[in-house]
Order: sequence, then structure tokens, then C-alpha cells
Amino acid sequence: MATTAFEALASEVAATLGLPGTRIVAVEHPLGGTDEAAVVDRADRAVEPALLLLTGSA
Amino acid sequence: MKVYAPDGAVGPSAASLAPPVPVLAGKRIGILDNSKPNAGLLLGRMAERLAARTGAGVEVVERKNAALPAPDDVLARLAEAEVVLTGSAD
Amino acid sequence: MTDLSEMLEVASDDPETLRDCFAVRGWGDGLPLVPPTPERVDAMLAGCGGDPEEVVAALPPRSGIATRRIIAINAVLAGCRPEHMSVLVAAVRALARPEVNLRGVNATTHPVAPLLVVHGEVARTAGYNSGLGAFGPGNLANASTGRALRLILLHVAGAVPGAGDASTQGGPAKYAYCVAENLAESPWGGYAASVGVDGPSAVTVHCGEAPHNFHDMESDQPAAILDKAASVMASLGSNNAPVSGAEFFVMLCPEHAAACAAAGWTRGNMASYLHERARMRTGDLREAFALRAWAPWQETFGDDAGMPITEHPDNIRIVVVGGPGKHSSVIPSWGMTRSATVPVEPERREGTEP
Repeated sequence: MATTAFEALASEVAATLGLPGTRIVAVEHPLGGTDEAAVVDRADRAVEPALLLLTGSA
Repeated sequence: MKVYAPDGAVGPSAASLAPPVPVLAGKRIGILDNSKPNAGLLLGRMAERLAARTGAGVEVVERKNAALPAPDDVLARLAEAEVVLTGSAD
Repeated sequence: MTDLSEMLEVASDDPETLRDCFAVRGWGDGLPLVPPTPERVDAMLAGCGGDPEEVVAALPPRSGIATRRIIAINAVLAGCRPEHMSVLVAAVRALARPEVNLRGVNATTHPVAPLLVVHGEVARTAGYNSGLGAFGPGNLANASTGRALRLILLHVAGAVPGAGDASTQGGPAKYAYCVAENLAESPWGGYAASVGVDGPSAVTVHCGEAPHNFHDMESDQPAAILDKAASVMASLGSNNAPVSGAEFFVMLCPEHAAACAAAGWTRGNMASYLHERARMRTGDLREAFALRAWAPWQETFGDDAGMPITEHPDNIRIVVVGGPGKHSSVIPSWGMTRSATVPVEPERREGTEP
């Protein structure tokens, strides 16, 4: 999981560590300083893309 | 004129990606919370919803310091899970 | 010895051409570069001797292999002289020490940069500035060695903004951050020896913020001088506030150091005093940081108790730097890192034992 602001960084770092193509789902930035309802909403919307990546259906 | 490249060779990579898990029913979901604000909330909620959708169970919840690699015992417990959710950066 | 390094062809030897050619490949720090031709790199390597293909360290996150030749290539790019090579090799060794946590240092959103402190004989013989204006600008050794270390982090370690380096604002200390200890005016002897690294020359890396100034123009009393340092240390904004195991480097100017020494204070006395005085109200820290790295005993403090900003006096390190005047500085840590001090090896010549 990464926020949109750090998605590119997360993939770069994964590739640098020898894991290009690491399964990354991005949620809206930022998480810090965001209220609980908004974080839960981000989580709910990330479930479908996460499921597709984890099961290899993406 | 010829000049040297400044970056040098890269050391061997120690890992490869795990294959996907086509059916999550009955499988174990793990969480590695990187301790950044709201990471635990986001990952916990996602894992719950994934479990409810697929019939998997949320079995292992671990926490690590964001600035350090996860300790071996944490990784060993997470290895019990077929899929693990974690976060990168803030 | 087989030369294992990759070469590329550039159209001309002017620095701007090289800078642009490097920028296309994601290399460089934005400033003009000295072309690392085989002749220049060979001359640089002669500054430290040894096998050019010897692996000094593998640097994260890229796992880039820093050989002596790769270090020399980056030293040429930065404008170093051969006599700076032994310092750079030691600096790379220090950065690779596990307690430094270079992977975290490079990756974080914090503006941390490794400060390189040069100790002992090599500071004098290789022209490092430990006196007036030591943090810069104007001295070739400090500027080029600091810059070379950053180029090694960019090129070899892969600490490129937006890729291996997530620093939210970046920082000026990420261009060049190198200073020498003013041993001649240190009343307590050299810092390296105080942490058990003997020998004529050494380097310390401390991964921290840019220096935070404090001044005392009026007092010759250690307590009055150090109270100013303590107030700079006890800052809610620095990473030391939520990470109590982190180190502070207190860079004392010679006049402040002389005043403390004249009153009979040792490094240990000063660290203990600063530990006692650099405190904040525990409740304020609790309120500010839900996520904090405190020692278990610290969590038992009541809200109105004064919490030391670092958990142990040993985390307060004192180095004498600078020239005339009464300005000193505090360098807070990034947090999840420890400083490392390593010896600078003497130059190795062909056919001689190291």
C-alpha cells in the first residue's frame, strides 16, 4: 500500500531491491492527519484493486 | 572523449516476487503495520473487508518501526500467512 | 588489475557538457562536474593506493558496489584532490556500518544528510577547514569531499530524490556536509579517541539535520552557555523529540569550549548537564506524538515531569569546531540511526604491507 504521492517511489524502491512489478495499490494522499472516516473510505475503495492484484486477476 | 560511469555495479538481488494466490478462501491474511499515522487503520480495514469478501481470515497482525527493517521474528510469523498487506512511506 | 567500470563517450571535455550528459541518465547533483577521464581517475586512485577493484561497501537501497575506483570516479566529479581519497574511503566504510541504517537515512521523508567530520592528522595534511567558517563555504577539501560523498549516495546508493530519497523538502546539507574537528583548540583532546578510535586520523558520520545555531556572547560560565544549547535541543520540531534514543552532536566553538574547560568541565560533565537541562514537559510531548520511540522507563513519567530530550547523556556528543566568535551549533539526529567513527587508513603503496 502506498499513497498516490509515494506510489512512484514505492515502485522505484521495490525495483531497486530487485522486485520490479511488486503489487502496489495506491490510496489518496495523505494518510497522516486524515480523519478516521476518510481513511476507512480509502480502505474500502482499495479492496477491489487489492483483490485483483493478490489473486493475479489484474 | 571517454569518461567513467559513476554508478558502478549492483550487488546480487536476494529475492523474487511470490506468485499470486488465485483463491483466497480459507487462506490467511497478514498485516505488517509500518507504524506510520493511520497505516494500522487502513491496513486493518482492508484486511477485514478482503476476508469478508473471500472467506479468508485475518490471522497475523504485526507492527514494525517505519525506519528499520522488520525483525526476523516478525517476518517469521508473517511467513505463516499466504498474503500480507503492508505500507510503504507515509 | 582488470578495470571493471563502464565507460561512456562524451562530445567534449567542458563541465557543462558532462553535466548535461549525466543529467539525461539521472546522474549528478545539478552542478557542473569535472570529467572523470581515466587519467584523472588514476591520479585520484594514487591518493589512497590499494586495489582499485576492492569492494569498500555495498550501499543501500540500490545495493551499489562502491569499489575504490567508483569512489575515485565520484571524487573526480566533485573536484576532490587525491589527498582526499583516504577520507572518502573511510567515510564510505562508516556509512555502511549497520548502526548507521543508511537504507533508512536515504529513504526517509526527513531532510537528513550524513555529516562527515574529519579528525586528526589528515585534517591538517589534506587541507580540511576546522576553523573560521568550517561548515563553509570556501574550502576545497570540505566542499569537494562533502560533495563527493553526496554523489556516491546519489550514484552508487541510488538516493535519488523521488526514487531512493523521499525527503519532503530536501535540504542544503544534501549538497555537501563535511567539516573538520578543531583538534588544536579542543581542550579535551580529539573526539575519535573519546569514543575509542585511536590512531592519527579518523572520520565520523552523523546522520542529522543541518546545524541549529546557538550563541552566548556574554558569559564565561558553562551553565549559561550550555543552557542555550539545551534550549535548542529541546525542540518539539526535531526528530529527537519523539525518538529519545537519538544522538545530538553539539559543535562547540573554541571560545565556548575554552570557557567550559576553564571551569573544569569535561565532555562527560557537559553531556550530563545537557541531559539534565534539555527537557520538555512530558505531557506536551505525549500530546504532540502519539507515535513515539521512548525507552520503557520514560513512559512512566507523569505529564508534569520534565522529560529528557534524549534518554542518556552518552547520546550527547561534543566536538570542537570553528574559529573566533561565540557561535556554536547543535545537530539533531534523524533518529533511527547511530553515528559511526572509523579510522582513516594510511595510503597504501604497491608492494608494501597495508
